[in-house]
Amino acid sequence: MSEIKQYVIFSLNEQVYGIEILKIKEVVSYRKITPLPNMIGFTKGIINLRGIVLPVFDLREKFNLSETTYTPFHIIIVMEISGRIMGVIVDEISDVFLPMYKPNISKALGKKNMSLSSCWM
Amino acid sequence: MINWIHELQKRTSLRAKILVATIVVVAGFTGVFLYQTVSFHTESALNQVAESSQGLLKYPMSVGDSKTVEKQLKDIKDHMEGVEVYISDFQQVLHYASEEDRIHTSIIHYLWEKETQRALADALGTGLSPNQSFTEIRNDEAFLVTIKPLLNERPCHHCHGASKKVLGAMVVKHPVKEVYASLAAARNRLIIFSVVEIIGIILVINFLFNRLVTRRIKTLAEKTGQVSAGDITVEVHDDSQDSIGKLSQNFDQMIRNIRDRMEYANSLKLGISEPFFMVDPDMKLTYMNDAAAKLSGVRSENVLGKKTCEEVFKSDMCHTGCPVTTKNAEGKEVPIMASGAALRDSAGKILGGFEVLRDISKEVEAESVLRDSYLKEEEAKKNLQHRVESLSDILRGVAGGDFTVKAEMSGENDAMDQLVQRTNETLDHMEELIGQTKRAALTVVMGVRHISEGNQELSQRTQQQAATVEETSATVEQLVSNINQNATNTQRADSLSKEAVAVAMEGGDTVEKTAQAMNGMSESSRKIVEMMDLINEITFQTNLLSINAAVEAARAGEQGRGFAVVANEVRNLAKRSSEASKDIQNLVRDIMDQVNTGKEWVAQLENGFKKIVQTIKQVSDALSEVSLATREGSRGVEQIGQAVDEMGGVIEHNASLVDELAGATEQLNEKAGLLQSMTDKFKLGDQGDMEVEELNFKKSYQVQKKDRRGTEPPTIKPLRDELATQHPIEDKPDDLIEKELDEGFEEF
Repeated sequence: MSEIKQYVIFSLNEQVYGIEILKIKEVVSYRKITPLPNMIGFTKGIINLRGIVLPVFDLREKFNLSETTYTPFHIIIVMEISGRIMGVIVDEISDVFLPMYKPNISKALGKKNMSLSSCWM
Repeated sequence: MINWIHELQKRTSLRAKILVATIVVVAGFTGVFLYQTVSFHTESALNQVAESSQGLLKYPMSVGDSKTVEKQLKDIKDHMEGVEVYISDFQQVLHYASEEDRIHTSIIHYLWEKETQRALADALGTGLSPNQSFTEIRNDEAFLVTIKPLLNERPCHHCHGASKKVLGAMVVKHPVKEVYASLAAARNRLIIFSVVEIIGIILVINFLFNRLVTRRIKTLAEKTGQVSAGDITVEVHDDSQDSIGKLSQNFDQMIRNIRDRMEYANSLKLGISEPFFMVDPDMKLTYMNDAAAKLSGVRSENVLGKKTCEEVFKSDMCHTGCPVTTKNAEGKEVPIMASGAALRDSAGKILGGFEVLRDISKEVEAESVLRDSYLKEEEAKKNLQHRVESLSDILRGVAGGDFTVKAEMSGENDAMDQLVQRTNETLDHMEELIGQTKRAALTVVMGVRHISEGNQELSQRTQQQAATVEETSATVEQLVSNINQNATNTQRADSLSKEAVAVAMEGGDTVEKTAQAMNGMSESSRKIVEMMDLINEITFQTNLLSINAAVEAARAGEQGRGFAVVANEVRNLAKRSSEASKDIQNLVRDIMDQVNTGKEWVAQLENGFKKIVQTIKQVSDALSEVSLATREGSRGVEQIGQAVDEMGGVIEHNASLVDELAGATEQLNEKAGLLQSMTDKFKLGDQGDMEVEELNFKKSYQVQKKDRRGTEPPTIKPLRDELATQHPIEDKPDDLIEKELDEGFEEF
């Protein structure tokens, strides 16, 4: 297939990231996360999403960004990476990038005036 | 005749008079009684005879029984000897008679006396029986004739009818010779007894009267005769309690009183120790006491009743009461004072006289001594008068103002010398005193002159003061009008401030409403914010849904491409709505901020209005107080005006007083000049220190005057001009008033 890949653009601490749309299972709003014992680092806990229990990670902590207080207007992106379903907390989903041709990331990014220091997942 | 009786009455004794009176009274009364008794006896006896014969015939006649009447008459004739009874009709014709042969004859023939016949006719005419019987005497035969008319009474009507009043008369002739004889015997006896009785009564009365009255009165008369003859030693002993006894006792008492009086007069006579004698109307001595006998040198028993006053005393004192002389026993002239008076009886007749003498030889001696001393005194008096005249001359000079001459002393050191000395001392003192008076008068003149000058100045100042007070009065009036204007303005300001309070309160209400509206706005904004949150959430969810849809569309591959476009559009819408909602939220937040700011402002405004209201109320109160104070001030100023008017009156009064004072001072000035001219009349010694005092006075006055002149005279600024230059309060511009009010607010 002429793979025209779509990317969901999200922001974290005013920094824009993108992820391939097919890796996303669902986006939900931030909800109460049940903490688990012995959790370390960026693991925030687990949530029950329609019968599926999945872990939630805090990307801010992972990326060593400044902490913030989460509100219902934060977003948990449920994604499947390497066959594992998990949720990550982001600040905002700003766009779904749908290239009609070969993606010119730099152009897309340049439109936003952002540095391409972010990484692709 | 009366004189004769009077003479007889005087001559005869009391006893004879009483006897005659007794005889007259007893004989008179007893004689009348005797006569009455005798005549009554006779008449009653005769009437008895007549009645007895009449009573016998009355009944048979009334029944018309003629036979019985005749029989009765016959019986009368038979049994009563000499009695004749006739019964006649009204024509004096006999129908019945005791002598039967005389029937049917006229009765006139058997009545001899004319008096009897007339009485019968009267009885037949009137029907009344005569009230007496009649006596007829013929041939030594005495008859008593009794006439009775026979009246036509009711039992007679059946025979005689009722037409006639008198049917006839019955005449009874009764021989009374024997009756008369017995009556005469009884009368004679009665008269004899009465005479004896009268004589007895008279004798007894005369005896008793003589015993009880006449003899005692005679004794009393004898005794009084003795007294009137001069014997006052008599006494009457009569202790009975009747009038004569009382008369005797009173007589005794009178005699005793007379004796007491005589003894009293004798005691008086004997009690006179001065020479005293009494004379009879012929100037013969009747009494003289021992002192008089000693003075005249005679023995009283030799001269009493024998010699006259002149013979005994050889003096003319017997005729005068003045001081005279007499010769005493040694033949020496003795001065005497005699006083005498006539002795009179109760009728004023002179019975004699008495005279009391007094030996005044000692008094005469004393009088000569007195005359000598009087002459000596007269001489001393002349001497004294001379000295007094010399003193008087000096005093006359003094009275003329000449004090240079002094009186001289005689050197005798008597009372007059002391008087002269005292006079000299007095003159010295007076001289000194007049000197002082002169100096003082000069001072007074000067002083009065200065007072006069000062007074003129005072007058000028008073007038000036009056003018000033008038100006003050005008100014006060202006002030009053200004204050009244003030009061009006204040009242207006007061009402304005009240209106302002009302307006401010309305503003406060509006502000409150505004605050409420602002609160509503705030509430609405809050609600908008809440709704915006909801919208945000929806937008957020929509965005999430669009993402999810995009994810699902991507996963659907080629089939999901169109859906991906829709999802993208949805996501765009969500994004736009999110932006819009963010804008709205910002706007609402701005609004809320502004509303909050507005609320604060409104709150501040409210506080401001409250303060305004409060302040305006205070202003109103203050204005009321100001108004009150202004009214009081107005009254005060009116009182001040009255006071100023009164002061004007007082000053006018003062001015008139000052005028009066000026007049008085003028008079005082005249008087002081007079005083000075008067004191100048006196001629004195030295007058050295007068000038010094005058100079002193002048100096002191000038100093005083200079002091007064040193002070500035009070400058009078006409207040009216000052006030005229000032604007009244209402002439101030309004903004200035407001400014003042504002400033006033700040002070509150």
